[in-house]
This record gives sequence, structure tokens and C-alpha cells, in this order.
Amino acid sequence: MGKRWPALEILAIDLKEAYRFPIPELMAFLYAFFPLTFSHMALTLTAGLEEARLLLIMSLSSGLVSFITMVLILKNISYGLANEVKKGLIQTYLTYPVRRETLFLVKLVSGILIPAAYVVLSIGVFTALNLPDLALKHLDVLIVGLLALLADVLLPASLMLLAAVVVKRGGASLAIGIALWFALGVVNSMLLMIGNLTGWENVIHAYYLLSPLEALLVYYGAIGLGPIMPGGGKPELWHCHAYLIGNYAISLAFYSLALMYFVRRFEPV
Amino acid sequence: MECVDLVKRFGRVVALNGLTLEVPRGRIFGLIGPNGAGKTTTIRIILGLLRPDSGEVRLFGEDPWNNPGVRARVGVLHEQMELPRHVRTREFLAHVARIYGVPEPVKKAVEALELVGLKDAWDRKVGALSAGMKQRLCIAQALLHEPELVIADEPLANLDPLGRSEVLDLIAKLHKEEGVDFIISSHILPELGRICDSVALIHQGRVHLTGTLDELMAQFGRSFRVSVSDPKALRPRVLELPYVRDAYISGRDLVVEVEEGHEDEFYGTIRSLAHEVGVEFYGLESRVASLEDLFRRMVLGKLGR
Repeated sequence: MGKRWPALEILAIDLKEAYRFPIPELMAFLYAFFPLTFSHMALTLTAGLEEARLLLIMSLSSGLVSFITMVLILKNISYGLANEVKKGLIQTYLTYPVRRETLFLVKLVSGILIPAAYVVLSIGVFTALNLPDLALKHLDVLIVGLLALLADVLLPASLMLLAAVVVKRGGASLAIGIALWFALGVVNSMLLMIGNLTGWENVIHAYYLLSPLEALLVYYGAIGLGPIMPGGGKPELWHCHAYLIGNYAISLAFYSLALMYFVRRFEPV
Repeated sequence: MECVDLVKRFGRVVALNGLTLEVPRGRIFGLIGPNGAGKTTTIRIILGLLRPDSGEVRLFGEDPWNNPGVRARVGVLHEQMELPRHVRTREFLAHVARIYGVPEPVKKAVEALELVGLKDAWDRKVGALSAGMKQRLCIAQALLHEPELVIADEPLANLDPLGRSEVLDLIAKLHKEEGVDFIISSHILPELGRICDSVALIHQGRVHLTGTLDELMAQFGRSFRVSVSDPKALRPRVLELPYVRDAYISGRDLVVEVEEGHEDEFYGTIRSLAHEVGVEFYGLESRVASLEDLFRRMVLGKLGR
């Protein structure tokens, strides 16, 4: 027998299934169209620090891109994973000599990480075209900003993935995914409101933990709407990094839970 | 392959209730049983797709759960197996060949397509194949890595009679020439009986009977097809005969199972019995017991009578 790369083979099949014509073409159009269309407003911003401008422009130009990415992830998880379980394709893959961890990783890459990479590519192309000097000068801010943008996508995606692995039904997974996505939004808004009204430290931390990009925007003075830290100050940079790491840790915990369930308990019926 | 005291529940439904089964090497082994007997659950546990609630399963001496080493030695064919729909057949088989580490995967894919009669459909997308063609493709993907054992759940489903015959011939050929073992679950009993050398009869989540076909059929003695004008009227009287194991109506005839050694006695009695009951006697045909008889007896709870 020759050398085996089962993960790559299943990934190749999976990509042909999930990203067949015209999905990549449509995505390419949308990912280019929205940042470039909305960018002129952002590019006219002149006030504030350069870092603040960069972050604000990234944030504004990525709004619809993040939304489209979430829709794509939702579709991939519901119809590329949960529905495949129901129809029996996951069962077929599991009869091949492939470890369950490998199959999970393949689904993670094709369902979530590739759409997430679209966000990075879209913002990367946008900043390279419109703000090359600013982006190069503040590369660290650009990278942290991108990670914060991705955190907004990866956390709800982790919840959706966990739900899909457990419920194993395309329609139910889609409904639960949408509900979780909205629930996260509602929790975020509630935390913002309560934080603004009460100034409770833990609520403010929880809000920034769920919205690390917001913490960065407030830190660099790009917006003044976020809850103010106790003592009347803004979050420190190390706070922003801690929120970002915390957010990724939460996402990682959900991905790990989904992986453990898939490896130890998941039955494709 | 060995299953010991397997129990599997789906909610309140007990799918397997202490199933114990051993399949030695060198066999074409049939799993038969009515719908819901637990055949598919057994196969899924053997393949490591399901985990039993209790009990133990060993395939090639190892636990099959998340065990690629074991699965690399097995070819799998599920009932209504789902395959990726947007990939072309040859391309799909080449991917599968690479997953198994088969050298020259494209060449092997073409050979597998030829083997199952799909050579001309090499560039068709899997989703565009008919049910029968898809079943053939499933067979191809199960065989292309030359497995030691093929586990097939309803492999004859979706095939026309000619296709079934071809698949059965292929199974027999692979077993004889390549030494491939098979575990096959099927409802198409006459055809299963044609190729299996051993069977296990599963009912209500347990193995009720297992052995070689010869051993099992020997328990049946002889059965007769009695052609009369009113089989319903004759049946109760026939069942009163002490050496008759069972009698049931099949089409327009009465099928009677007679204990071994009483065939001549039955021959001598049946005509006069029909006369006594007042039904017209047309003829009598001796027949060898089949898997269907075994199956029927198991479902009606008459095993071991």
C-alpha cells in the first residue's frame, strides 16, 4: 500500500461538494463588492489616531463580509455536516480508514476555517488596495484587528458546530444555529446596556470578552460608545489582548467539546 | 469477528438484547432476520459506527471504534449508501483508493469501474447515476482496495434480477479466487442461500440460530408442496399429524414440513386425508427446505420445535 493522506482526500471531496459553482464565484463577488462599495465612507475618515482609523475602516468594511461569512458557515455546518449525517455521507466516510479526529478537522477546515480565511483575504485585499501605507505602518494593529474580527465569527461558529454534531439534523441544526447566533447578539447588547447603566466591572469585562474588537476600538479612541472601564478609564492594551485570548479560549473550549463528542460519543444515525 | 453479549438501546427501543455471534474466517456469512431484528445495528457496531451500551465486539481481534487499521482491511457496503453527489465516478474511486493507500489509484479506479460494469459511466457525476448504477459504484468502492473482509448490508437492494445475479457471481468469485470473506445481511433469502455457507438468524436483537446451511437445513427434514382445491380446509387436519412440524399456505398450495424419516408416511396419508376433508387433491411436490423456511419459522416463534 502507498502513502495515505486521507484527510486531504476527504477535504478534496468535501470542497467539491461544498464549494461547487457558483458558490465560490458568488462569494468572491460579495467579498469584493461590499468592502469596496462601503469603503469610500470609511476612507473619508480623517479624525483620530492612525490606528483608530485603520481599525474603524477595517470594522466598517468587514461588517457585511462577516455577516455573509456567518451565513456561509451556517450553511456549511447545517447542510455540509448535520445534513450529511442524516443522509449517511458521514457514515460512509467513517467506514474508511480515517480517524474521527481527522474527519472532524476536515469538516472544521471546509466548513469554518475556509470561510474565515475569506474574511482575512477580503480585508487583506481591501487594506492593500486602499490603505497600504497605513496597514504596513501599523501591521500589529492590523493583525490584532483581524484576529478580533475573526473572533466575532469563530465563537458563534463553535456553538453552531457543537449543536450540529449533537442534533445531527440539517433543519434543526440550521434553526439552532440561527437562534444561537441571535442569542449571542442579544447577550452582547444586554451586557452593553447593563454595563453602561451600572458600570459593573464584571459585566464590562464580559462584554469586552464577547466583543474584543469593540475593546480595541475603544482603546484606540475609534468609538466612544463602549462601556467605560471602572475608574473612568478606557481598557488598557493588555486588557484588549486578554479579552481576545479569552474569547479564543472560549471558542477553543467549544470546538474541543464538539471534537470530544465526535470522537467518543458521536453515532452517525 | 466476534460479538459477545451486545446490548444496544435507542431510547426505549432495545435494538440488540444480548447478541452473541462469532464469524470464523473463510466464510460467506449471512445475517438474516425480519425488519427491526437488529441486523443493521449489529453491522454498524461491527464497523465501529455505533458503540454498544454493553458487551464487546472484536474485528480481527481489535476494537473497531475509531480504528483505521481495522477498517483498512474491510470493505463496506451499506444499504442505500450515500456518496458525494457532485464528484465524477472515476474521480471518486480514485479518492477512495488514495484514502486506502492503493498504488496507482486512477488505474485501480478504472479497473473497479470495469469490474462492476460502469466503465462507460466514468465521467458521470455520482448524483446523476441511477439507483442500480449507484449500488454498483458502492460495490466498486468496497472492493477496490482488495479487502480481506467485505461487510455488506443489503447489497442486492436496488439491483434488477440480472444485476443481483452478477453481484452474487462476483461475491462467489472473489471468495473462491481471492479468498475474500463476506458478512452479508439481506432480505433476499433465496439469493443469499445461493452463496452463503453459514448464516445467523437474528430476531428481536438476539441470535436465535447459527451454523452452516447444511446443519440448519438438516433440522428441517423435508417439506412438501401440496396442491389441493381448498388448502385452508386441509391445513388444520394436516397439523394434527404428529410428525408434521408446520403447515402454511403459500399461494394456492399448502406447504407442509415433515420430520425426517416420516416422508413415506406422509406420502401415504395426504391423499386420503384430503379425501376425508372433502377437498380435491391435485398433486404433491417434494421440496428442499430453504432459508425462507428458516426465516419463517423464526419469525413465527417456532424455532426449536
